[in-house]
Amino acid sequence: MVGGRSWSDRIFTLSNVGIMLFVMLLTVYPFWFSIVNSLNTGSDLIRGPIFVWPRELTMASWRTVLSDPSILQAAWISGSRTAIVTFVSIFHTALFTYAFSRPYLKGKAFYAAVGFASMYFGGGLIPSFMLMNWLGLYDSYLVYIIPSLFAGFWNVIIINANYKAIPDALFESAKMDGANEFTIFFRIVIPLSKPVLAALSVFTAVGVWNDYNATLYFTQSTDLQTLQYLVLKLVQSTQAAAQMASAAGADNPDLASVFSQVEGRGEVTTQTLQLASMVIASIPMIIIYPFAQRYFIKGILIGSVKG
Amino acid sequence: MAQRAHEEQLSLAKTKRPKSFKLGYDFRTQMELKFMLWPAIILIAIFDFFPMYGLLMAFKDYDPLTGVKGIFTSPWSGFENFMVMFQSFQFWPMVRNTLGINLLGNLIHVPVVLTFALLLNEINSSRFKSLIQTITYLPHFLSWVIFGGLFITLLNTDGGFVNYLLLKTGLIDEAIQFLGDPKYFWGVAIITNLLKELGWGAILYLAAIAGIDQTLYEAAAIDGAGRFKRMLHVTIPSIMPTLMILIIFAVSGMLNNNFTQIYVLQNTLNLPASEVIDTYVYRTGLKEFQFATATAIGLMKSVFALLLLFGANALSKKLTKSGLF
Amino acid sequence: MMKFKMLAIMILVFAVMLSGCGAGNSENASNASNASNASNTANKETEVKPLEQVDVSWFTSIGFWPAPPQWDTTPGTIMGNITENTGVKFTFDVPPQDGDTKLNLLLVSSGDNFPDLITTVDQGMATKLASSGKVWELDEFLKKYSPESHLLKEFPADIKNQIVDTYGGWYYFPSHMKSADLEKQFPPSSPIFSDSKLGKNQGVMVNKNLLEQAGLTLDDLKTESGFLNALQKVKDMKLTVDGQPVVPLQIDGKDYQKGGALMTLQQMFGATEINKDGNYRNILLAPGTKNAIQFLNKAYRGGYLDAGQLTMDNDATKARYASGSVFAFVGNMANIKYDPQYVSPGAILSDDGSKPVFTHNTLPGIGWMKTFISKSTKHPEQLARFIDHISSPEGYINSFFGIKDVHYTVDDQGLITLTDKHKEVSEGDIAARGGLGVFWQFSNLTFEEHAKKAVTTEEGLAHAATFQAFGKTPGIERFNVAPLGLPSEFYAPGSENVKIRDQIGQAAEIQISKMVMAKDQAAFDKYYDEYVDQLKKLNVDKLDAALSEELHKKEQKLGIKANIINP
Repeated sequence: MVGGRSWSDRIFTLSNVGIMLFVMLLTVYPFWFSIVNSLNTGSDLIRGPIFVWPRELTMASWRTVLSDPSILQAAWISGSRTAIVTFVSIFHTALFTYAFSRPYLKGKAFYAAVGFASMYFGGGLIPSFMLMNWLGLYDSYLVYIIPSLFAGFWNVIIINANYKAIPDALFESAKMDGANEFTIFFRIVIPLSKPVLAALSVFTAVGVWNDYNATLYFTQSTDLQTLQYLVLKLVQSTQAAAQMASAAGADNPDLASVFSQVEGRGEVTTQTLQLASMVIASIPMIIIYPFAQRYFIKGILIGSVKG
Repeated sequence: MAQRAHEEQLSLAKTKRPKSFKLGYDFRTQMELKFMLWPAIILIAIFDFFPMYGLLMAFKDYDPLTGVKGIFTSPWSGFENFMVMFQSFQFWPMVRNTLGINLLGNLIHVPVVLTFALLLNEINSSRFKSLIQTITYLPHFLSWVIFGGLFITLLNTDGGFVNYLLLKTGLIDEAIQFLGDPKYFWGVAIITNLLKELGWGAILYLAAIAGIDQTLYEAAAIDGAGRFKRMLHVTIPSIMPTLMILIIFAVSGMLNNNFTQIYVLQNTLNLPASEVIDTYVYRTGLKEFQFATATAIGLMKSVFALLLLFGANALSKKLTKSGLF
Repeated sequence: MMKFKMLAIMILVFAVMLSGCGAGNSENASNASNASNASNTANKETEVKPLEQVDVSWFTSIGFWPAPPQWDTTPGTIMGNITENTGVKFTFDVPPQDGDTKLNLLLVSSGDNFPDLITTVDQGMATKLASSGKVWELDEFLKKYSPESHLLKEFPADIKNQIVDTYGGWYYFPSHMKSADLEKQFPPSSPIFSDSKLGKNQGVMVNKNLLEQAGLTLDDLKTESGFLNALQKVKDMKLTVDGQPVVPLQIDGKDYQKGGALMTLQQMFGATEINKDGNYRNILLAPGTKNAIQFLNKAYRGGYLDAGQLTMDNDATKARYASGSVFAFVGNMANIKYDPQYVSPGAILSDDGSKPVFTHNTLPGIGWMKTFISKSTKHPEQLARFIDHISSPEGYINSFFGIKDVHYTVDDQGLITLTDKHKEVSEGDIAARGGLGVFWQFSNLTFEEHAKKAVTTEEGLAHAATFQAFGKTPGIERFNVAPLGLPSEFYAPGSENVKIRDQIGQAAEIQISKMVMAKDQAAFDKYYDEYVDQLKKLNVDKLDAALSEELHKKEQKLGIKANIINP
């Protein structure tokens, strides 16, 4: 590490660490909050949320979520979908962007126009729904894969910026060597783009992992449910029930009993379930993150290409 | 891995180049490039462009019962669907809130996240760096229903932690109605969003920083530049392309809000400051039953977003010489 | 007569159970249902041929409906009994959100994916389905596929007429049925049940212990000024419960305007939609409403109600209440968990002498959940059998009360009492409910009051007393809301009426909260004037005129006039 250990340096480092610790505290707390509340009995939670440590510790809600018969299937669907889409779409987009970034590409404006239009305009839910039907993708596993094989023009722009940072000389010399576009892409561009591709992979993976819209609108069988969809079911239950209780059957005492049925009582209630499932569903992404992080923690030595 | 790439590059660099070579305009290269481009173009054509006939709905008096054919056969209604939103008495507050929260939000969000990324970069231990990143990225995974609910409790006037602290330390005399007073709403929305997305937003900046040629730092250090000078003269200029792109996109997204966040934090007291376009659409049931009006609003937003995009891009190119592509 | 009926039902229940047990398992989806003559539902005189077991899809657009995750055909279980009797095996599709959007999409595409059974709560959606031609009109359906169905003869005429009136035909099966005709068929088993008609979710609840500590009685709380004085006293005494300061007045939190404290006070202060000329006048502009808002404002100014309450969510409100440190709660009592130490003084009488209003409807409700049968279903016979079965006494008992001696017991008068196990299962883990009490779509409240024994435990009676206190207030005026019923097109999405209604609603929401938080009477009056001006600017008068027209049309049709109370 360059630079001396002067006083100002030390103060800086200390305050930096302090700031980081403070930020970490602020950002870890909501997650901690969710965890401790999910480890509490539901009936006790009615008395008010827990802030530090469970009042009545119980693993009941976690057990319920993990022993749910559909959770394994949902985890498999979510996992396989995320892995396939992330890997294929990022690779595909990197390839696309490579071609797009070449100054000698003919018709670049066309591709740019198509790209921007695709980012901002869409026909809406009804035509998309019909399309899935016509293509036979409705209620099929492939509805999670095929439409997502390209990661979108936003990613193209980000990757493009990264490609521009690669010195032209590398390309020129490769061309001299008789390398074709594919070789250049695999041998030069990809190795030098690892940080940004890693970052975008994380974005894509988390995006796919968290998505529930595809399940909501384009599937109906329970076999195709994703993990986040299961979480959504629990989160929405409490919200929707609360809204209904205050609107629709507001003065009808008979409907009131319906809502207490939804909430559940005892150790496990919808409140604890929603927190437990949310935490559980996030764990895979949290565990995977450090692996991707490696790529953008250190810098890369591009090496001197001084002519 | 990096080592090998490095060597390859050096070997490639050593070859001499002949004099008149027109790089890449030859047929073979163009074909290779086309091959790389067209699978995506086809996917876009099928999944993005083909459904665009749905945009016609915005100009028609459409009833979903008429099915897909109805999109074409329904009577034209001109700009009627677009006018619906303008007629709401909440129109100006809505637009003002949407733009305000976004503009102010970005003005705060971008510098803070950038600073955070820069500071994080200055941490020496890579283990600690990794830990910080993993932790700060956690709130991104919580749903706004939970995250928002937590803050409603913390910001409460009666017994909420934040007010308790402020009162105890004597900073204020009376509990602040964070969620009851319209004037605090934008702040609450922006800060809670910042907390949630800080770690996540930093990822891209960190990736850009990681791609900076280390030798530039070495050279600067040799020239006598201290930590801050290096940040200012090496880091920031090097990530300027990425930074500008993110800013441009932020500008073009001015009309979109995080619906769930706003909806959870809204209540009758702060409504004048918290009603935005997206919650208006939801509230009036547009999404469910009036696809035509919802499509019209979506179309309007898209057009604006595109205009903002190009405007911001032009401005950025002028000021910093870097733009979208 | 009634005893005989109960006896008959019991015998039939036994018969069904026994035959179900003796028939061996009917696992295979084939005419193995041959073996289970449990297909002999009670009131059929002819031999009914057993049906093939088929998979049927059921779409419900309310996200929180606790659908059984897996259909269980094990004989002797609730779901197993349903399958044995009807041949249906359900797969449920319950989108956690945007259910009606998905339903709209399915309507648009109308392919093979259209569900066999559809349930929605939204009136607009129901109107769409009814007029789409894609669902069966139930009379036609039953005549074709189950001509012996008891529904053709016994479905309550008054409910049916209402449905036909509103939707143009009997297109759906309503939930939570309760009506005069139904009562003729299934009279209540005890006078306690008739009292339940006086129950309302909105009300006032006061903590017994704190009341004593403050040296007050319930009578002190029965008038507006008395109530406010009591709150002042409680505030001055600075009482605590478990170290927590006592909250004098608690309302429903941020939803107080949606069927909560505001509605409670409006009813207590006699606000109605009918003005002194017998025409429609938006309740937001009624003098009773002004008093209601004024009451809340006085509570705020007096320091009995803190501003933070207007931003609290339901969980926080529940938590406050559950801690026992609330002196008085005003609002929707169904939203908080009932606590027996809270009792109700009945209505708070307005200082200006207005009479409290008890709203009721002489016309039967036409269902919160509406269940439609799609014309494209490939298994109409089984579905016909299903609605037949679940609306029949033994089918109902099986689905709602469960298995005899496990989930309910029958006493010597033939009346049913639910066991603790029933409560445990029906409110417990969704996956373990086995379908018990889950089929809300066919809930028949009148039948339940007929078949069940009235709860006479002290707690049950106290609970009933609290929820009925308002209805039993001496001098309370009854207000029939039947003439206020509207045809479903009145508020069709995109119509002028719905636009005005939504805008008025939004503007009022904001302004009312402003009024509640007014710093002094002068500010309150100013805000109120602004409020009236704003509503008028948003065309409230135009909407009122249209509603008056509908009102008078309906009055003529029903042959009654709307009550004018507190003119």
